[in-house]
Amino acid sequence: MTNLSRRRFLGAGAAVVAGTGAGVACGGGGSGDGASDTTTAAVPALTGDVAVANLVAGLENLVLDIYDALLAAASAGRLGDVPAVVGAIVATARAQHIEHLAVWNQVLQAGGKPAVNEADAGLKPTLDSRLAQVVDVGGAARLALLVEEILADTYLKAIPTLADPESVRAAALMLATDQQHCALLRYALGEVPVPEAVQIPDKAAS
Amino acid sequence: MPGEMTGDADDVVPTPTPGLDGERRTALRTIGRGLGLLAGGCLGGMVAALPASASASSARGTRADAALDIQVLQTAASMETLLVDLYGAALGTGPEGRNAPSALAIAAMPDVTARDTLVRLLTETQAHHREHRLAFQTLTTALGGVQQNDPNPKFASGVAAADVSNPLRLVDYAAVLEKIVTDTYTLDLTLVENVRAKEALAGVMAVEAQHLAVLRVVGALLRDDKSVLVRIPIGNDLVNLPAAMAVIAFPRAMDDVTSSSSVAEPQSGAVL
Repeated sequence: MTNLSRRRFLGAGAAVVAGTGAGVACGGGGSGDGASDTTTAAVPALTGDVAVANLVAGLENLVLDIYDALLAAASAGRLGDVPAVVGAIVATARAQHIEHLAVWNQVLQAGGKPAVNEADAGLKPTLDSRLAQVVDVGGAARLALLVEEILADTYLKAIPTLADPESVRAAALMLATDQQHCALLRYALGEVPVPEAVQIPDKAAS
Repeated sequence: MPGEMTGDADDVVPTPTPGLDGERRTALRTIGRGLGLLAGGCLGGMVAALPASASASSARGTRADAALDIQVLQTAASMETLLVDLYGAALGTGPEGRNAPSALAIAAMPDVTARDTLVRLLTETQAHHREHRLAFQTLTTALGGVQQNDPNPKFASGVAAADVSNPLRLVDYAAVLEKIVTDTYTLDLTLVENVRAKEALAGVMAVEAQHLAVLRVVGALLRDDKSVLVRIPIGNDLVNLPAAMAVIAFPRAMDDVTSSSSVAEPQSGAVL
């Protein structure tokens, strides 16, 4: 999906979850001073809930880019025969990440910051390198699991730092969903679906 | 839904607790009414003045903050006990031993590989809940509270009365309880101040959500008479796993609380 088409999709997604960001708009974790068209490099560093929203929005975009690439590879026959459930996991998770991204972009815009529609620049080279090595369904599922774990761990690490209860709740709900993506991916990979008693954020991005 | 959960919406509206500050009492009442947080309410603004981090709150925290945190942790421990006991009965290690209805049901499963897989999953899940309970109990005492060792009274009678006399009913009922604890800890995260409590609740909630996804999938497979796909590793049978399992495992992008009766409010498992 191109950035343009994704933006169109996000417009619809944002309407669906419009209520979710309302608390942030009311309570506000951000300290924005108005909308800006400049890049983050040209403005003071973001802080608080807005900084977290900026980080996870970049990661959500990164996950979407990876899933788009995996779906394209599958459609082109480059992964061999793809079991129906694996395709369904990626497609369903992708749709849910679009909703998650819409929530964080609402948080950003409520804080006077621009929406994020590009992948996290820090992690993108590493994951693109992993993507280039994917040649089969197993590799695709492992890469999907990795990006889900990164995102879930990032939410886990961020939750105690969030100020607004609405942001906390949104992050917690997304953490739960992402961990469910992980569990089914592990099952598909033949692994123990819930390997740890307590999740530790050892793959969290920052 | 197998079994009956006790209580209705009116019953579970928390009684204001002496010593809690007004804003957090208000937040608790809001939770008792089913939150409506997705409806665009301004709870965020209402409690925005709360400290941003528990480290900050610990420096300037109040006894009321600690009291609510302790209640949350005690109630969490009480929910973990319910789950430990549910799985223990199914594994034949509860008070009824191998004669527990759920243990008998599992033992009678005709597909031995599916049975062994289910036993493995339940064993691992019970071990997780033991660790969760210990974590919550340890945090409770660290905050100066009394350790909660009993099952949650709000849900205990419902669990005791639940019909778990066949594997599908057991798995479905376990999923109900896993959803309850996932929802409960999600809401707790918006209430607690102590950073260690937040970290524990988040780390445990994330695992409960995974348990829920697995149970949903296993339940769907048992319901559709596809126990042959209850396998770890699933191996070549992966191609036979229905695509619908994705939506069954994670049906919504944000699987929010649907009923106020489906959470354990902080007071529900508190002890003095």
